[in-house]
Amino acid sequence: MVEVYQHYLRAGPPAALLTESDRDEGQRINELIMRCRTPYPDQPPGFDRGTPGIVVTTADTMLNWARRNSVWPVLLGLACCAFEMIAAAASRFDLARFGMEVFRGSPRQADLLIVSGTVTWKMGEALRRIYDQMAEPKWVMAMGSCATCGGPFTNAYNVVNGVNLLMPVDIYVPGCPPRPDALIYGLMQLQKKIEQESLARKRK
Amino acid sequence: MYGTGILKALAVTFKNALRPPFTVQYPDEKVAISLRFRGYNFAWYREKCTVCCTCAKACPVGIIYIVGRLQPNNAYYAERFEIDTGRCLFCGLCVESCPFEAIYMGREFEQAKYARREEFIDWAKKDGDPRVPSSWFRPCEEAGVETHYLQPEQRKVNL
Ligand code: SF4
Ligand code: SF4
Ligand code: SF4
Repeated sequence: MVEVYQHYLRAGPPAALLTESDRDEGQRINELIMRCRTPYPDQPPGFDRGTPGIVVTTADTMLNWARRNSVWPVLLGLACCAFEMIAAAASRFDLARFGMEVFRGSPRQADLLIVSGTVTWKMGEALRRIYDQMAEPKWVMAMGSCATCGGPFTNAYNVVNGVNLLMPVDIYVPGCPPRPDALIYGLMQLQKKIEQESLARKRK
Repeated sequence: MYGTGILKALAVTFKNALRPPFTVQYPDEKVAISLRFRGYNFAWYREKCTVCCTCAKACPVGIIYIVGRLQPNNAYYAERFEIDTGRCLFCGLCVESCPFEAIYMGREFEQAKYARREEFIDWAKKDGDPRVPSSWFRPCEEAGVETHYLQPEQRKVNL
């Protein structure tokens, strides 16, 4: 067994075990790793409002009220943090009180991507696709150490060191895992951020 | 006999229907948190810390940044004591390893931040701030019992 492993380390897996699709996938993921070197900048609330007129301001108030009270997350759990997310949605902590209970199976109907757990580069590709498929306006929450910065797996070869390498993150919730009420607090902070947004805002 | 199964099942349903609501109305009403909760901030006391960096060495992810300055009385002064709570596992190994009981887990969980940079808590810059230490690993704190650490004036300074 050890000899086989050492051979892998020296020369990679034998060519017979590698299929065409494996090779393609490896290449794609390596390209993704090369592409995602610099993190997206954080977006503090209330910035870049421009000079909204009275029409824009009224429309903003209405839209932000509607948006912040119906933030629908994507049904996506990546690792152990997902269980706290499930607990937050269940009856004890009850996200429905905030209009967020509708975990959508389709990213096209969702507004919020809760990145709950460790993101591997292989999953990172899919995660970025989900983010791209979500319709504007959309928000991203990094839940737990892993999504924030790689957490305990920072030095692992296969883990994304922070989901902000893949997509701009709106709010970070520390914890490993954050308890359900900490997650709900993060969602409330996100609601506060949505409140300060404007139609005139341009997302980076 | 027919119907007993369905009656039994309905009895369970009705029992649960009459139960009082289970939900915690979070922002108004909080779940009772254990005194030994390992919260998402820390509590660090300048007067007890000797800047020995044991906590930084014990940390499995290496997220405690300490900068000390040697004072004329041969004691160190912490200029920076920063913990990256965004990367922390809240394992408490730093608290366990501290020989002078200068660092405690916190009891706060409302720590969501808008920027990654804000997750670094620099305790050396928060001298006057209130601290809410958890009694995790030091349960005698709950009873208000003096623990074995030496008071600063009792501590011998090697000169
Ligand atoms: S932050 Fe901790 S609990 Fe959450 S996914 Fe990572 S290891 Fe698991
Ligand atoms: S907190 Fe404790 S272990 Fe860390 S430097 Fe201070 S005295 Fe040493
Ligand atoms: S709780 Fe664990 S991970 Fe966090 S600073 Fe202390 S030793 Fe490091």
